[in-house]
Amino acid sequence: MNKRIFLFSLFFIFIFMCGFASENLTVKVGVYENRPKIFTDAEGNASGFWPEILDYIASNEDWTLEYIPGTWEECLQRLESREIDIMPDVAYSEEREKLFEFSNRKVYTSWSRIYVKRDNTIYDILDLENKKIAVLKNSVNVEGPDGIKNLVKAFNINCFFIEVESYDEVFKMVNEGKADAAVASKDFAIRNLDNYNLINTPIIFQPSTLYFAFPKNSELTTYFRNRIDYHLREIEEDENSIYYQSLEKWFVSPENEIFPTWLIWIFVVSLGAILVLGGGSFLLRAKIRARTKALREEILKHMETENELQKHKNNLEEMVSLRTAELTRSNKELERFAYITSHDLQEPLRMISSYLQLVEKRYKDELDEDAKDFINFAVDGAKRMQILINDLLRYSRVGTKNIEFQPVNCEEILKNTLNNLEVAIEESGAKITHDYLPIIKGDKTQLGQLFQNLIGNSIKFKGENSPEIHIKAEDEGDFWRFFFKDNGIGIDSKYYDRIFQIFQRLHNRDKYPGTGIGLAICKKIIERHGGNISVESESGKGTTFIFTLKKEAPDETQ
Amino acid sequence: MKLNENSRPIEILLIEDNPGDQRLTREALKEGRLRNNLSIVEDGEEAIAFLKKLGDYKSVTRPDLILLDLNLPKMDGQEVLKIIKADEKLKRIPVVVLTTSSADEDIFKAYNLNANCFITKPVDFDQFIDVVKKTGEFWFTIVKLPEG
Repeated sequence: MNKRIFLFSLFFIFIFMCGFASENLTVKVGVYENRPKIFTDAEGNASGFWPEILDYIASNEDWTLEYIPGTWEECLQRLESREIDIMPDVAYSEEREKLFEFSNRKVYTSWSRIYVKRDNTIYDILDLENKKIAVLKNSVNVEGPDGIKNLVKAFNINCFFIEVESYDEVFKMVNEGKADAAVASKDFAIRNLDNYNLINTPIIFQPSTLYFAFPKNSELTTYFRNRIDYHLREIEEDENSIYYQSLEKWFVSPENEIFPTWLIWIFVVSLGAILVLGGGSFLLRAKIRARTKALREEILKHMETENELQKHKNNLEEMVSLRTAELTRSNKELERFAYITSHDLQEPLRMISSYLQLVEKRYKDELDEDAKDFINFAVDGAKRMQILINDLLRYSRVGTKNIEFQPVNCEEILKNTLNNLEVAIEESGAKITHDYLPIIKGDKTQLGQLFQNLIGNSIKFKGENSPEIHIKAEDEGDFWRFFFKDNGIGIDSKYYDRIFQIFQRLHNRDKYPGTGIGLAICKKIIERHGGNISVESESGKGTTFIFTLKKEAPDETQ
Repeated sequence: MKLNENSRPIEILLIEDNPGDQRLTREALKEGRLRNNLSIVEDGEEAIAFLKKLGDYKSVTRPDLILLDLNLPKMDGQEVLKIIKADEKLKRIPVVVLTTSSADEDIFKAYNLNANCFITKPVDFDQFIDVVKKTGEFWFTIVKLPEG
C-alpha cells in the first residue's frame, strides 16, 4: 500500500515538475505496441513498464520525453537513422550490436513462446512442420541466433512465416485462422492470450535480455547510456524503487491496470500531502535549476576560455607562418644577391680589366710608362674588386647555405686543414700541435673553413720566429671550448672587436694581403653552430682565438 | 703553326649576348693556335635556330664545339643546353659553358644538364686567352670525338 502511495506521489511530482521544465533536453523515445511492456494507452500516451522506468529517469534528469510511436521495425529503423535517441525493450544480439549501442545494465529478462488456438494440436517443435507461423517482423525471437527461424532450421522443419508489424496482429492472425501458430514474447502473451483465445504451448525458446538501445555514432549516446545505467543501478538496488513497483504492476498482477476505487479516496486524502511535497519539490527544483544554471555558466566560461586559447593559438600560428614566409623571402633575396654578385657584378669588371689589358697588349709600343702604370692600377683595382665580390659571396653563403648538422670529428678536420695548408706550413716552418679534439655535431665544410682560416691567419701573421700553433678543446657541459693559440704578431686589444667585422683590416695590404673577410666568416660559422668567438692577445707575443661549439646541433631557426 | 694546319678549320659556335665578350672570345681565339671559324649568335632562340638550321641558318655548317654563356636574353643558357642535350643530332657536340658565374648552383645545374665542361671566365685577359686557347686545344687535339 505504501508503495502505491509513493508511486502516486512520484507520479504527481513528476507531472508537477514537468510544468516547470522549460529549458530541459528533449529526448525522443521510440514506442511500439507490446503491452504490457510498452504500448500506447487509450489517451494516446506511452504506457507500460518501460515508459514508467524511463519517465522516472527523465524526471530525475530534467529531460522532456517525446514518444514517437511506430511498428517495431519502424522503431529500429528510426534508431538506426538517429531519428530517435532511445529505444526501450531491445533484446541484445550480435547482429544488433553492429547497428546500435546498448545500455550496460540489463533491464528485464524475458523469453518467447509459441502460442496456438485452443483446439490446436501443436505440442512439440516438430509439430510445426508445414505450419504457418505468424511472427513479429524483425524481432529478435524471429531473426536472432536463437530465434524461431534458426530453431526450425536446426530441426530441419519446413514451415511458413507470416511477418506482421505488431504482436496484436500476430495473435490476430492465429485467432482468425490465417496462421497456425504465433510467436510472441511471454510478457505480451500474459496479458493478451485470453483476448485472442489462444493458449500456451510447451515450446519455449529465445531467452532474451532486454536493454535500452541507442543509436550508434550519436553525440548523446554516451551521455544517455551513462545516465540511464546510473539510474538503473540505483533503482535495481532499492527494493522499494519504481523498478520493482513497475515489475509487479505490469507483469505480476494484471488487475493493477485499473485502479480500485478505494485507491481514489486515498488519493484524495493524499492530495494535501502531495501538494506539500510538490512545494518541496518546487524548492528542490529551484535549487536544481540554480545549480544547473551555475554549471552551465561555468561550462560556458570554460568554452570561452578555450575559444580564447584557440584564438591565440591561431594568431600565433599565423604569425609564425607569416614570419616563416618573410624569412623564406629574405633567404630567396639573399640567394638572388649571391647570384648577382657572382655573375652580374663581375661581368662589367671583367670587361674593364680585359679591355684595358687588351689595350696594353695591342698598343704596347704607343703607350708610355705612365699610361702603362695607369692601366695596371685600373686592372689591379678591378681584380681586387673581383676578390672582394667573391669574398662577400662566400660570407653571405655561410648564412644562407642550408648546413647539415652531422657528427664531425675535429681531429679529422684538423688533419684535412693541415693537408690543405701544406705548402704554407712548409714554407713558414710552422709547428702545429694539438690535444684531444672532440666529435661534435656540425657542418663539415664550414668547420673545415673555420679551422683553415684560423690556422692560416696564424701562419700569415707570424712573428719573428717560425709559427707555433697549439690547438685544444675543453669540455664545458653543453659546449666544447676551443683554443687556437699562436706565437704571432698579436693584436692590440683595442682592435678585438674590429677584427671580426667584414672587410676590416689592421695592416697594409702590401705587408699582409687579404680582404679582411676570414675572421668575419669564422664568426658567422661559429654563430651558426650556436657558439661564440673571442680573442686574447698580447702584441708581439701571440694570439689565442677562443670559441665555443655546441655539442648538439642548435635549432635551425636563426 | 696552327695545330690543325692540314685539316679543315674548326667550326665554333659562340652563344653570347655581350658584345664585349664576343669580341674578347674572338680575340682570344685569334691568339690561339687553332684554325677556326667562329659563328656568333646572341640569344637562346637564335642558337636553337642555328643548330637546327632553321630560317636564315639553312646553310650553316654544324659546329664542332659550342661555347655557351648562361645569361642570355629570351631563352637562357640552361634551356639551350637542355634542348641541345635532348636532341639526337646535336647531343654529341661538346658544349663548354663559358660564363662569368662561379655560383655553385650554376655549375651544378650545368653538369646536371650534361654540359661537357664548365668554365668561369677569368678577369685577367691573359688568363682568358689561355682558357679559350686551352679549351679549343683540349677538345680538338686531346679529346677523341665521334664522327658527325
